[in-house]
Amino acid sequence: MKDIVILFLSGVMMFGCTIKNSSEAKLDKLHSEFHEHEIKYAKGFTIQSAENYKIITVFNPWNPPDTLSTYCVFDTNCFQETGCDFPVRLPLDRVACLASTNIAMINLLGEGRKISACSDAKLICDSALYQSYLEGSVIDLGSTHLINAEMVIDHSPDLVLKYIYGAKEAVDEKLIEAGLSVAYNLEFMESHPLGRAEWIKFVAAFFNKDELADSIFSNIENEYLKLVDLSSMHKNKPTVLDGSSYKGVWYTAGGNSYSAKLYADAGAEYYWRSDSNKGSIPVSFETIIDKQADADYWFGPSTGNREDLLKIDRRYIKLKPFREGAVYFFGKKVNPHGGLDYFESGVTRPDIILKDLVWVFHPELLDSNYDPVYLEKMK
Amino acid sequence: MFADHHTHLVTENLYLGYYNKEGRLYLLQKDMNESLVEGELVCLIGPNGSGKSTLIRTIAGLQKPVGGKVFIGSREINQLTNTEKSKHLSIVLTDNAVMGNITVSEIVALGRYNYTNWIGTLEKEDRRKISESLKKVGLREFENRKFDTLSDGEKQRVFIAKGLASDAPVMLLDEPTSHLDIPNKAGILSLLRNLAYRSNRAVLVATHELDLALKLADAIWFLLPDKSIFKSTPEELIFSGKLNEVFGNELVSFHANSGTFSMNTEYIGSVSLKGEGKFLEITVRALDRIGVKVNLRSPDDPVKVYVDNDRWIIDWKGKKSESFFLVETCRILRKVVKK
Amino acid sequence: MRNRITTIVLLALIIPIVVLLLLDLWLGSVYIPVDHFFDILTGKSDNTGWNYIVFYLRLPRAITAIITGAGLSVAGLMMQTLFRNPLAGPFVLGISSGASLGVAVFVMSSSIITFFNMEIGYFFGAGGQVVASIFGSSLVFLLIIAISSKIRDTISLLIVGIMFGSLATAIVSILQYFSEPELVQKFVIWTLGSLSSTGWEQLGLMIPLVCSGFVAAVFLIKPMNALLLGEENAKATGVRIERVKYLILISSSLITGSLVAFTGPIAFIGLSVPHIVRLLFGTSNHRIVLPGSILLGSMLVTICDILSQIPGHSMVLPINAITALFGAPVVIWIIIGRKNRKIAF
Repeated sequence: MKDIVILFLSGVMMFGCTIKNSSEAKLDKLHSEFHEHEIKYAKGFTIQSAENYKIITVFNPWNPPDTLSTYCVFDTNCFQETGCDFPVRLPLDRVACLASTNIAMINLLGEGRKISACSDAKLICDSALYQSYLEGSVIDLGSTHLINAEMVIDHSPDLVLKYIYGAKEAVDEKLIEAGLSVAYNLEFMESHPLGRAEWIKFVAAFFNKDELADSIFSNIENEYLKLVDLSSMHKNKPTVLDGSSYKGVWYTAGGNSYSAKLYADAGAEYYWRSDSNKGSIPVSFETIIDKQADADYWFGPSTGNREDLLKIDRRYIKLKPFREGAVYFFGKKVNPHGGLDYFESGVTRPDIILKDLVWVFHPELLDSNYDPVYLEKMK
Repeated sequence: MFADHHTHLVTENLYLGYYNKEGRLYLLQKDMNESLVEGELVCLIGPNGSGKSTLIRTIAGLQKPVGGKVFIGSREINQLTNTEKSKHLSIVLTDNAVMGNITVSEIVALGRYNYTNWIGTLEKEDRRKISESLKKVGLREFENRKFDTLSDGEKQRVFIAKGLASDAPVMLLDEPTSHLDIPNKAGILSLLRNLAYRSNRAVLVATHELDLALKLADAIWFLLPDKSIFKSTPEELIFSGKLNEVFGNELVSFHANSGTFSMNTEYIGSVSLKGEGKFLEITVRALDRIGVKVNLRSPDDPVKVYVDNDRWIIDWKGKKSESFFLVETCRILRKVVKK
Repeated sequence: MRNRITTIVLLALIIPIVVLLLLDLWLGSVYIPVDHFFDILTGKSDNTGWNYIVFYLRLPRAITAIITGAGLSVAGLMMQTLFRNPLAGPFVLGISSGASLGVAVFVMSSSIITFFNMEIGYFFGAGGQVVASIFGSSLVFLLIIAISSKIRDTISLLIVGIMFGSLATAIVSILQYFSEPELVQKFVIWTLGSLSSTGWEQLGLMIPLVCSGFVAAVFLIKPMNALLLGEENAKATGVRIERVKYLILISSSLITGSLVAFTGPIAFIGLSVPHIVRLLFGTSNHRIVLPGSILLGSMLVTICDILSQIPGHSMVLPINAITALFGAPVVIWIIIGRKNRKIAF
C-alpha cells in the first residue's frame, strides 16, 4: 500500500510537471524542456526552470531519494499543471524567515527588507534585522523548535522558510492546512561547507535572483578553493581537537561532518577523520585524553573564557592546547543576547570561516594584518 | 413433619486443605459430610490452623476444595456463577476495611448487588430491604452515617446487615468478633442467633469465642487435630471431654461442671484464712489467683490471714502487718508465702 | 434529596465548562477583539486568518483539552479504585512510559530504525509520532495483561507495572544519551505535552477511542463501588472479579494510551482530580465521583490550557508544567481547608 503511494507521488513528480492542459498548451509550446540549474556541492535540492516558472525540489535527507516537498515559483498562474506541493507567487513581499541561516543569504541577495518575521528574534546577529525587531517592524514568531502556529497564520506571510528535523510536525501540518507555502531549508544536512553555502541558490530562486546567487556563490567557492590549495601545500599539518565535554561525555565532530571537512580543508589533521558520522559523536573524556591530549589546537569549547572553562570541567587542564592557550572559540561575533553569528551568517561564508581557520593553522599564508571574523582565542 | 426443616447447604466428602509452593498438599480436614439447616446458629470452633477459615471460604466458594463437593440448594456451588452464588449465601469476613468515604446505607445497598440494574439503581423494594436489615441489626439511625465514623462493633453489624439485605438464606461469618470488646462480642453473637431464629437463616460462624459459642449455638462443629469433625450440641460437647482433650494443657483445663476454662494454678504455698464479710469470698479468689492455697479450717499454717470488712491482717511467724488494700496484701503474701 | 442536590450540582458544572471553552477560544497568542470574536463564532467574520485560527487551531485544541482532562481523570480514578491506592494515576502501569519509549525510538534512533521511522514519518507525517506512541503503549499494555493472568495479586501487578515503566524510561535515557541534540530536543518537547498537536482528523480518531473508555467506565460504576470493600468482599458480594479487573485495565489503558499518543504525557491530572472530586463531594461513591471527575477534569485542563497560552505573547508554556504548577496548590488548598473533616480515601 505504501509502495503504491510512493509510486504514485513519484509518478506525479516525474510527469506532473509536464502534464499538458489544454488551456496551458500554448505556454508549454514555448518551452518544451526544463533548464536544470547547476548545483555543485549541495545534495538537498534542485531547481528547474521553465520560461515562466521554476520548480524547486527539496529532497528528504533522512530517506533519500524521496522528495520532501516541491515548490512552484511563478509570475503567472500555472500552479495547477505542475502538481507541486506549494505555489509561490512572485514577487514576494513578506517572508517569514524562521531559519536564521537564511537571513545572511537573503541579505546578500539584497532582499533583506522583505523579511517580515523571524524566530528566536532575541538571538539574531544581523544588526539591521535585529534593529527592525526592536522597533517592532519585524515580529518574533516563537522559538525555532516551538513555532507559534497561530501567530504565523495571523501574520500570513507569502513564504515561510523553516527548518525541519525528520518527519513533519504538527506545526508544519497546521501551516500547510492554513494554505501557507512552507519552504524547508535543510542546508544543515549538507556535510560539505560549500554545499551549505550553496543553499543561497535555493533562497534566491524564490526571489528570482538566481543569477546573482550564482555569481555570489562562485566568488565564495573560488575564495574557498584558493585557500584549500594554499593550505594543502603546507606539509606541516597541526592536529585539532574539536568539541567539549558535557556531563562527562565529550561531544566531538564526526569524521564526515561539516567541521571535520573544514579542518581538513584548512590544512589540519583531524583525528576522527576516518569516522563516518555526519554529526557529533559522544566519546569518553578518557579517550580524548588518551588520543588527543597533545593536540595542537582546540576548537569549539562552550565559552571563550579560561576561568569559565575551568569551572565547567577542571580536567580541561590536562589538555595541552588548553594549557598553552591554543584554544579558539567561534564567538567573536555575537549579538547582545549571546547568539553566535558563526551559526547565522557563518554558514553562508564558509570561505571566511576557512580563512579564520587558516589564520590559526598557517598564519604565514595570509595577509599579516588579517583579523579573524568569527574565531577568537581563549582569554 | 416437625423435622421438616429446610436444609440449605450440604457438603459431600469434602476434603479441606491447601497446596504450598512446591505443590505439597496440606490436608486440614478429611471427608466432611455436613449440612446447614435454616433457623439455626452453628458455631465452628477448633484450634488455630485447624481449618476454620478454610472451611468457611471453601463453602463460600472463595476457595476450591481439595476434594469433594459443596451443594447449595441442590446445585454444586462451583457450578454456580458468582451472581447465583451470592444469592444463596452471604459471607462476612474478619477484616472489613473499607477504602473511601461511603455511607452505611451505601454499603448495605451493595447487599442488593445481584438484584439491582447495571448501574445499581435502588428500587423501592431494595430500599425497604436495606432499612429492614439495618433495623434488624439495630442500626436504623445510622443509615446516612459515614462508615468510618462507626465503632468496630457497629462496622461489623453493617456488614451483617449487608448480608441480610442480600436475602441469602445462608450466612457465613469468619471470626467476625476477633477485634471487638466483650460486650460487642456478645452482642454480635446473640444478634446472629436472633437472625437465625427470627429471619430464618442458616448461620455458620467460625469463632474463637468458645464460652459464648457454648452458650448460644444450636450446634457446634469442632474441628479436631486428627482431621475429623465432632458435631454436637454445646452441652454434649462439654460433657464429652473433647474440649479438654484438644485445648487442655499444663496451663488451662476445661471444667465440665462450670462449662468454662480455668487456669491450672501452681501453688506456691498455703495460708490459713479466717474472716467474714463480703471480702472473704474476694480474698479467697485473689489468693487462688496468686497461687496461694487457702485453708479455711486449719489454723496451723505459718502464715495466717484475717480479713475483716475493711482490712486485712497478715500474721507471719508472729509478726503482724495490716493493710487496707487487697493489692498490697497480695504483694506481701507473694513475698512471704513459701511451700 | 441529597442525591438530587448532587445531580443538580453535577449538571450545573457544565455551565462553567462552556464558559471556559469560549474563553479558551477567545484567548490566544493572537489578540482578537471580543466583538469580532463573536462575529467569528456566528460566521459573520470574513477575516480568513482569524476564522482559521479559531476553528482549526483553537477549537480542536479546546476540545482536546476537555477530552484529555476528562479521560485522564477517569483513568486515574479507575487505577485508584482497582489498586486501592490513593497515589495511583493513569500512568502507574507504565502505559505512558511505553508510549515514551515508542516515540523516543521513532524520533531519536539512527541507522536501521531510522529507515522504518522515515517510512512511517513519510506516510503519516506528524502522525508518525502518534503511531509510535500507540505502538509503545500497546506493547506495555499487552505485557501487563499477560502478566496479570499469572499474578492474581493486584498489588504485585502494580509493582510490575511500575517496573515496566522504569525499564522503558531507562531505555529512553540511553537513546537520549546517544542522540543528536536537535532530536533530543524534539523528543523532550514531546514529553512536555501539547494539546495543540491535534487537528480535526486526529480528534476524529481520539474521541471515539476515549469515549469507548468512558462507556466502559460507566458500566464499571457498580463493581467499582463494590471494590471499595476490598477484593474478597467484592467477590463475596457477587462481583466477577477477574472480569472486572480486566475491564478496568483495558478501558483505563485504552483511554490513557489514546490520549498520550496525541497529547504526550500530561502529568498530575489523573492523580489529583479524583481526589479533588472526592473531597468536594464528600463521597467515594463512583456514581458521583465518575461524572464529577469527567466534568472537573475537563474544567481543570481547559483552565491550564488558557493559562499556558499567555495571551498576547508568542511564547506558549508547556502544558505539563502548568498542570502541575496549578494543580498541586489546588489539592493542598483543599486538603488544608478541610482539615477538620475526615479526608476521603
